[in-house]
Amino acid sequence: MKIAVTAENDNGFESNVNPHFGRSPYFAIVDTETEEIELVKNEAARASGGAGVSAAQLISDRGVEALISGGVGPKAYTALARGNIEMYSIKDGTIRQAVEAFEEGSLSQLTSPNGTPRK
Amino acid sequence: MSSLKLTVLSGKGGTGKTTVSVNMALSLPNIQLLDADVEEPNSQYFLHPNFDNEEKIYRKVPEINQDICTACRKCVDFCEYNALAMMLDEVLVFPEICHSCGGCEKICPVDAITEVDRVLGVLKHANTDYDVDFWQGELNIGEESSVPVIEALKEKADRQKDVIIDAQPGTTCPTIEAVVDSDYGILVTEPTPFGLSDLKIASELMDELQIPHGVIINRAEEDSDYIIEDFCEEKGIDILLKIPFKREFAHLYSDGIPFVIEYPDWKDKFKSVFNEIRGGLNEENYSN
Repeated sequence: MKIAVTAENDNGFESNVNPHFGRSPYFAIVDTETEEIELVKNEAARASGGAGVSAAQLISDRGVEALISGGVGPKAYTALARGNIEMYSIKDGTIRQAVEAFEEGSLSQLTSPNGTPRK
Repeated sequence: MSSLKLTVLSGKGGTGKTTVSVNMALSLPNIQLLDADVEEPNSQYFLHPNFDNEEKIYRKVPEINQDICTACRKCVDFCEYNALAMMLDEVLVFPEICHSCGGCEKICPVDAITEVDRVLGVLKHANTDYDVDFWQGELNIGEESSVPVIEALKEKADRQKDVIIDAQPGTTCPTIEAVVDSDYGILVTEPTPFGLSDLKIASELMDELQIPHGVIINRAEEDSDYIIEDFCEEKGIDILLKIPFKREFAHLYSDGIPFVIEYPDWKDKFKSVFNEIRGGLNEENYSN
């Protein structure tokens, strides 16, 4: 299955996790079967608005079924939920650690949006 | 004497736009105050208005007929504001971030999109105890674009009166919308490096819009005013007034009392600033 992790930088599995979703600099798209990783630059990271929706669209278009991030804002949450993308919460660490924790089943699932919408 | 419409703005937030707007309004006869800081209209806390009239402001947002939609995605790709998303072959609308451009409706090849009204905010009117004809705009929580509320608010301007518009801080669309058709702009700043930095940007904006403007220094202090004065001298911008950094003014502010009420001699100062602005503009028109 394909999962997405919000990433601070472009350093493969050693990239650091970024706690924000819509404005994360990169998304690590990881195939858990093949252990392939691709880091996608988030072109909407500095958008004036709608970054969360744009990010949800980006990972949905890549066939992602689960997202690991610090938290997800209300609009992105709606979009991801409607796209049947599960959301999991992580504080920090590397992409590798995040993927391992996901596979162990030790990450808690997000069941509500957090944060407030940006103005 | 022709009616004057002036906007009080600032680059930096919290410099005293509302203080200047309200105290100036209370110093003048036959005056209208429009609070265009629609994300947080604060003038009301000093004017204590009893609102007597309310008008809802609507804007158009798309509604998708899922029975007709073929999930071609043209609308999603078209939307520059990410207000549409395609999730599992279903187009989702995020109306809060829609800018009501109407493009999605036009681009849809199967006419699955119609535009529907959405309440964006409200205008409220009051005749205040202080004899100020007062309107304020309020943007609903979660909405991204305040410009339509400000546009509607400005239509309330009564040109039989002088009009003061209290703008939103910053130099982005809402501020520009508030000031763009004003006769004059008062830039409120404070004598700090932050105040200066944002004053420079606000002044550039006014130059760009070709609107005459002057500066009021709020929380003025003798040993730091040079921060603003040097810049204004260099740029040839008038310093209209200095409001001193006084404990008594801060106290009144925190009690929601405009300081001209307790210090009526300040009414004369605001009045003469206003008359100077009017005089200067008349002279300019005359020489043109």
